[in-house]
Amino acid sequence: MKPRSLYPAFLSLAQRFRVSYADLRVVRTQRERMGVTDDQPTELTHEDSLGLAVRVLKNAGLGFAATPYLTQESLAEAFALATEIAEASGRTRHRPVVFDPLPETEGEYQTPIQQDPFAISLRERMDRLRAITALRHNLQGSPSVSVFLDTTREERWFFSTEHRRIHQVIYKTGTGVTVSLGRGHRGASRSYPTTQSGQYETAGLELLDRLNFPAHLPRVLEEARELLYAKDPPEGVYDVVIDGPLVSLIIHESIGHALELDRVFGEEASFSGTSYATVDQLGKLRIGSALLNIVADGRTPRGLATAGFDDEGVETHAVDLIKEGILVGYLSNREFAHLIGRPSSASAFAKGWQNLPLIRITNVNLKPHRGSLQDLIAGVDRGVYISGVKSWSIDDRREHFQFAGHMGWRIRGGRLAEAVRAPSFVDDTVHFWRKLDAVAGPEEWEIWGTPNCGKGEPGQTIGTAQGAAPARFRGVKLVRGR
Amino acid sequence: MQLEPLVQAIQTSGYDQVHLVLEEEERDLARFASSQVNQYVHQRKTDLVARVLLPGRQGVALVQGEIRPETLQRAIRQAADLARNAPEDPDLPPLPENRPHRPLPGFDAATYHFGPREKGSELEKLLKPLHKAGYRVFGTLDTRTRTTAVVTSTHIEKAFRQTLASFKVIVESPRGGHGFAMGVDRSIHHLPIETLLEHAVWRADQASQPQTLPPGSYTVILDPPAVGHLLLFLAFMGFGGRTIAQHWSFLRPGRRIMSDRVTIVDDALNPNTCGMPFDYEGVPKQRVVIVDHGIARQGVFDTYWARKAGTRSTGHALRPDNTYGPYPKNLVLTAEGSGTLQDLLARQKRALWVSHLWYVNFFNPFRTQVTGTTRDGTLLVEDGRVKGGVQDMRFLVSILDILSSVADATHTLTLTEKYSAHLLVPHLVVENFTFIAS
Repeated sequence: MKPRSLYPAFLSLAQRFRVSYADLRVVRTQRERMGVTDDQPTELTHEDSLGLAVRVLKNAGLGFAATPYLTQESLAEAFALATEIAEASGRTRHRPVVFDPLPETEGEYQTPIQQDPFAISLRERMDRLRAITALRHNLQGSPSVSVFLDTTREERWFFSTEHRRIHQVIYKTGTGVTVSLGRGHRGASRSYPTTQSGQYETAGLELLDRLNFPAHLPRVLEEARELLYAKDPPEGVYDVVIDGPLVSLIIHESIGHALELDRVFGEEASFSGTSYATVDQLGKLRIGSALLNIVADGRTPRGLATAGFDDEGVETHAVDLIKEGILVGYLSNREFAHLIGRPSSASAFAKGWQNLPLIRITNVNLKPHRGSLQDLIAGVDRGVYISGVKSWSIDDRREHFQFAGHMGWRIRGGRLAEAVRAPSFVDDTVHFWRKLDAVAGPEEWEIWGTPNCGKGEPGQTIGTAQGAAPARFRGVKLVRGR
Repeated sequence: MQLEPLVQAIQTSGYDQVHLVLEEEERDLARFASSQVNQYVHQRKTDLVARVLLPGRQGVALVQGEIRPETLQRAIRQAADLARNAPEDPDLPPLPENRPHRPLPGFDAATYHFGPREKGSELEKLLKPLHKAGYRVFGTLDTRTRTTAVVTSTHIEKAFRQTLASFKVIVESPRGGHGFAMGVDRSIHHLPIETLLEHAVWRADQASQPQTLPPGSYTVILDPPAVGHLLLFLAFMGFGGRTIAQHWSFLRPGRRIMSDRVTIVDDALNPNTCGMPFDYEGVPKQRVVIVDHGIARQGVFDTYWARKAGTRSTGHALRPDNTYGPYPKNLVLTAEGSGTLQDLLARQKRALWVSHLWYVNFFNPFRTQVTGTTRDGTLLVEDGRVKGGVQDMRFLVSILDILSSVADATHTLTLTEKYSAHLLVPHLVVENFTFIAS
């Protein structure tokens, strides 16, 4: 059954069950993941997911039901269940769920792409990956080379009792290459363009061309070799320069999550936790130095969270979160935005059709300032340059954290010196960001995708992005395990 | 669940080596925050995973949505198309042959039918009095019913239906203390919801106006959720056949790796671990002794990684669309100890009593080092009595070191759940647990 043909039945059900609001989402997700290490496949999986979800507001409560069956009978069953849930939830509520009204609209959005991954044959895509791993034969030292390609096409339909009718097609592509020397405990590996899970964007297969793996492999191999023989990092207080991917993760964990308004109101305390950025501090809390300017922008080109509308049917737009270091805004949805007297920031997203939209990090971007990475390093007499991501952990109020870079280099007299393994630091969010004294310029800025951000119960893993440039921090405490 | 359509789809597919997994899940989950139900979702999901093996090659297709006979055929064709285009893998083993598995209890009708009305009434009864008394209560009440079917062209035709019920609660007292409790069982009626809530309230009262302690080494009493969390990370780092075959694991058979008090097995056949009787390849689950009185024994394997390691599958395959490799999801840790939780507490001169852990992540996996924080009601115990709450602290520990420093344990094991694994563990007393920041 075509999603649009469910709309009249949906409106009839809303009348029959006398709900104050309802929306219907239908989502079809097609995804292909493929990976190769040298000659060996590591993954080759195709996914195809289709289903619908109904959200209902009645008697102060919110209900949600999802089903894989796209029929009128199934829709009616889900609607009845969502209504029953809204009523059962409403009996426990002392603060009713309220949405500020939205006007009727008909919306259409599609990710601008140059190469549709699903229009290119599987054989051709696989051949492109194998051509990359074959480059290992041209590299010294018999390294192992791994590459992956993860492509998604998601078609989303949204209908509401406010007569908002929206259709979107979102393309996402992720890829990355890793060079490894040795194996197990005695080995070392280095990745491009990021460590961890590769780079993800709302893009087509043009991402693979733009990243130009062949041009970067020799440098990546050289870094892996340096890491193989690298020393332990120093301990103590040092000035540090941090590369874009790790700055992106620190923004994600210490700012993005902390400014989700549902967390701020305690709604995620049972799992993800709460926040240091309470609403009484809006407009007052100094989170960082004057160089800390953060904007949430659901329309950043190539951003992994970029879409025309969020999953509550609200048009995406840019919202200031931190201006010159001061907290000025939050990521929000329709349920929470009006509690602080503001419109939704269009940050409600769900994984697929089967989950409830929650307030999520969208594209949360640090504004670039000026200078190059080399300029930042030149400004450090005794310090460490930290590159890539190895591990991290942050407390449930997003205050105290630990981050470890994938590798680093000592800085002496404004120049890079010997490599070190996984420099790690601990700090408190506001203390750390107040130590920010330089952010590189637009030429160093990139929108880094995070494909695996988890939140909610049942758990939902979705894509976010953080725009970041390399940044310099003064007096950071480096720690080392025993 | 009817297996016949799956069998027919394989028979008519034209391929010799076809592996189908069909999972249906119905989940009814109420979340509550600030003593009111804030998110309540009901999900019905159907996942079909088709794997087709051609000589030296394989492809995997996942379909989520309505599964019809034509969907089955489409998924098999898709998987075969992927396999034809896959690079050759000379280590790829054929599908396993059918072997009988031991039956296990699984389904509880009362849990399946515990829907919105029942949950709403239960939560209204629990939350309203606490709200009036000035407590804020957060958590989940969750019931799930899952049917897993595995059908292969090698005559495996198996299905297992199970229910799970869980309750998790965090209480914030009027004076700012926090308490935590959780429970999981096959049956909603075996879940001691009121007892768990009472414990969380008691703990929140005890933890009010928590003091800050300096970083350093402390003796800690770890509640089962904390023990389970650390055990799960240890398993990530070394119990799976892939980590062993790829030389990442610390598990060297015959070597002492932890205290001789400690034994770790993976045992889905123990009804208390809420496991499945077979894995996602249809191979019967085996009880695997991983660590025997501190001595490393063996890891867990699926067919692929067993062949790489020159051994046999132990029945620990994950779903074919999951590339993580074999994994133990029903771990049981036993430790020689001296009694009840009250006995353990009474013997402590000075210790921190930790309810659960938060954001545990690898620090140095080669040394099984992890970092994370305590959360929701860490208490200071002095001279056998609770003296008050302690602010959450960041730890940096080696899990093998912790399990080498077990000083005492409860006789009773408690089932805990983390990342879809079930862990049956005691309370542990551990010496020299290192906190690096307050």
